[in-house]
Amino acid sequence: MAIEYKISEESAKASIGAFLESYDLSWEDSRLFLQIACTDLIRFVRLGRVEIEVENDTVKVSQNLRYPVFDVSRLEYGELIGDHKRVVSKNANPDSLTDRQFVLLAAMAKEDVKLFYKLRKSDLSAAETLGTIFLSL
Amino acid sequence: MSHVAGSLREASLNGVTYRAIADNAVTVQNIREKRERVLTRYSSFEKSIVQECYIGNLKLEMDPTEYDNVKTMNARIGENIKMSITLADGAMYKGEGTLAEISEYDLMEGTCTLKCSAVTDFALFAA
Repeated sequence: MAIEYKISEESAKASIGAFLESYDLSWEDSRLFLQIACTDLIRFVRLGRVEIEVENDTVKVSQNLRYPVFDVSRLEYGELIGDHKRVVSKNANPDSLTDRQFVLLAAMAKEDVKLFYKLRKSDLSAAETLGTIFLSL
Repeated sequence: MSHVAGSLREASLNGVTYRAIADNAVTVQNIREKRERVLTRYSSFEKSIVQECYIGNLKLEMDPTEYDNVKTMNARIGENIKMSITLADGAMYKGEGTLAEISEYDLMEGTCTLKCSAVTDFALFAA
């Protein structure tokens, strides 16, 4: 069965480009892992699993869960601030990338970190992709 | 799975996890409606009273900056705090609301005691 995309590749790239631009970054950013994560993100945006809204200088990233956890079906990540990174350095295991990703996303989405432990399939992949991007910003 | 009684493991406020202090008697009041019987001279009739659902005496370990953050997040009028507590067996109470009481910060222990009051009630997710 072919995967049905809701959004065209061009629109997805445009919204991710606007997101990167708001952080003074571009697709040609030298950090390879950020490029790879953003390439992965195109697929999730096209599928409608991740929504990116950039208005003026405010970036709103949200994730629609295919498999809701603890009755939560949509995660809305607020603007990344220093406090979120501080929570990561205090609560996450510095040697575990996954742990750092989940603690950061939990703080941004204002949800319990245990919600992220229970994510499945593409919901988990999308969260890990977003975690990689937010950690590298 | 049978419930494992014991100390609370941790609590999360707006996605930030705080370690709960062991051997602290946390109480959960999660009954939204109370039924009472009103007595009359003839037959009695039923009265339903809506009451506050809360998690009380929640003693959490936090540093002074985190204590300040908790106070700030509670000061935003009209914005609910997402709250959850994890029990000893991993079961979780989850809800949204406000912090009805924030105690003074105990510098010696590095703790603060809260009362979390839910908008409606807390949902229980089994371990």
